[in-house]
Amino acid sequence: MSATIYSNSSFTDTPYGLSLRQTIVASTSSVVIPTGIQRVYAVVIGGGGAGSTQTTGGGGGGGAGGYSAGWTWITSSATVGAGGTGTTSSGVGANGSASIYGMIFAGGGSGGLNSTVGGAGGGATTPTGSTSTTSYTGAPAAAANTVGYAAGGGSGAAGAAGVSSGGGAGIATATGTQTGFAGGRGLIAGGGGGAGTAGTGTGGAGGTGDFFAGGTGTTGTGITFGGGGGGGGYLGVGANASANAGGNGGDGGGGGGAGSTLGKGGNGGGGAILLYY
Amino acid sequence: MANPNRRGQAGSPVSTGSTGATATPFANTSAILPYGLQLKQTINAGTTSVTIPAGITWVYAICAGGGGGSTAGNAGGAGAGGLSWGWTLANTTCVVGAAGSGNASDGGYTRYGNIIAGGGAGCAGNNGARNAPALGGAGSGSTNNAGSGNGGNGITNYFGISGGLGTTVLPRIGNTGSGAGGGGSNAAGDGPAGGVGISGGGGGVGTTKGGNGGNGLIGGGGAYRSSSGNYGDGGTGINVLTGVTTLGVAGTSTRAGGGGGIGGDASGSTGGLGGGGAGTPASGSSSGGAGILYLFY
Repeated sequence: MSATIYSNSSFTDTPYGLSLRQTIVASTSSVVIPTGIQRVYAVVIGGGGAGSTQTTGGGGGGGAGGYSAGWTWITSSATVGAGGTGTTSSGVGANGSASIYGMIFAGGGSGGLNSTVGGAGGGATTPTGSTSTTSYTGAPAAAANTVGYAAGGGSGAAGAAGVSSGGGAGIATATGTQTGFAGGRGLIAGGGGGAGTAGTGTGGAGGTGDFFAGGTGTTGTGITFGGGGGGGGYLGVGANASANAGGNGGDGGGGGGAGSTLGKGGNGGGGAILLYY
Repeated sequence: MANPNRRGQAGSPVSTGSTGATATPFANTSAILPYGLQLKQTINAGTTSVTIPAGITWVYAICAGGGGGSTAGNAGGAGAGGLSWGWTLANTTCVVGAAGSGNASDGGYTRYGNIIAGGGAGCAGNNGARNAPALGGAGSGSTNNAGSGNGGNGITNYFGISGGLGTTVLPRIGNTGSGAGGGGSNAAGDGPAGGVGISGGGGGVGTTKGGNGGNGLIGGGGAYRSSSGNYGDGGTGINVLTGVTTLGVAGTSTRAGGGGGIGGDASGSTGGLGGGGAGTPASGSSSGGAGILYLFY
């Protein structure tokens, strides 16, 4: 056999030297790849989880969307996961949705729990709760408060750090001075936890992403304050909270900030697909 | 033949290691280092910003988490930090994990973009609970006073390679894994060694000699002994830039040795730079090796 594997780019597994050609952010899109390109390197990001809200006190921030990357054959369609949509109803925040291009896929982030606990960051599939899922590389799931590729949600703590970080925990106590916990730091970041109190309440800041900052929580006296900031996404900043409503997560999978005292939980940031060739 | 793969040979599971009668794909390359690229930056713990030249989109990163810490007295060796490597998009921020220092103090994680490695487990003295390390980190040795305890478990790494478990099954040597298990304890004899792996486990406590740290790309720390022999030796590591072994330190009658890191030898009970696990010190606390981040482009 005399095949020269190095003259065939199909045998080269590094993305080194490739350029970003397409960024797909619509919910579902058709994709046009130029003739002659048979495979591409895809970065796939799931939607961020929504922050939760609670009747009394603050909810948990949403987890960041999952992040997967690798070579895939080309396809003419792509699915980009939406961020979870926040509500004013006490209960869990909605999970973000998964994104997929070819054989690269990433789960959404978990919504904040029906408590003060933050949602986990997404792995290759979408978690529900404060424990994440296995990542596309095979990195293990992480429990609450645990660093991971897909990190765990915060339970009485800031969201855990990772590639896709967890949402910060909220505060249940509705009297005195209270401050929600920040979302975890990550390549894509989780949302901040909420604080709803008759005293001075401050929502947790959204987690800081590598490329974009998280939003700030609100501060004030009384239960109309204390929303958590949205987490920084891969493509955009997290929004600041407003009154007792959480800020939306940044585009590209940022987790939504938590609401407090039935303020609306922030939406998770929409997912994205970036194609390099 | 010279490898003409100019774009670099990644340490990817779908590798360029295809067979061919006229090619030797892995000649003079390593499974971790990217062929054809140069080491451009070495980033130490505490640094949070990175400057990448314009025009560089992709960076190959090697991340080592910090090694765990240990404490004087009835304490085992600490686990080595995790190790991960691969391609990521360039960005301006990073996290490089600090070493664990003292009782039950785990090493910090290291991350650049989507490449991340956890820290090694710190060892809790006097029959303290075994900490669970993070993402690829190795477990610490046992300090069970009854001499029948298991070491801590190592953790599955970035690539999904399973961690090794600590075990109560004689001889209680920690199991092999990406993050290896810590050694158990022994009430009558030498302490069990930490497991070998990518990241070596900490040694367990014995009577006649402390358990040695496990060898790996990053070595685990050695352990205490309750009688009159020597403490445990630190496990060896490998300098991933040169392929040269990094030295764990031999135990003495007063302290155990730290494990070698991917960036340097251990020193006394202190783990080597790049995640080496701490050995049981003569007094006070001992530190693991700090994490490290290498960037190639």
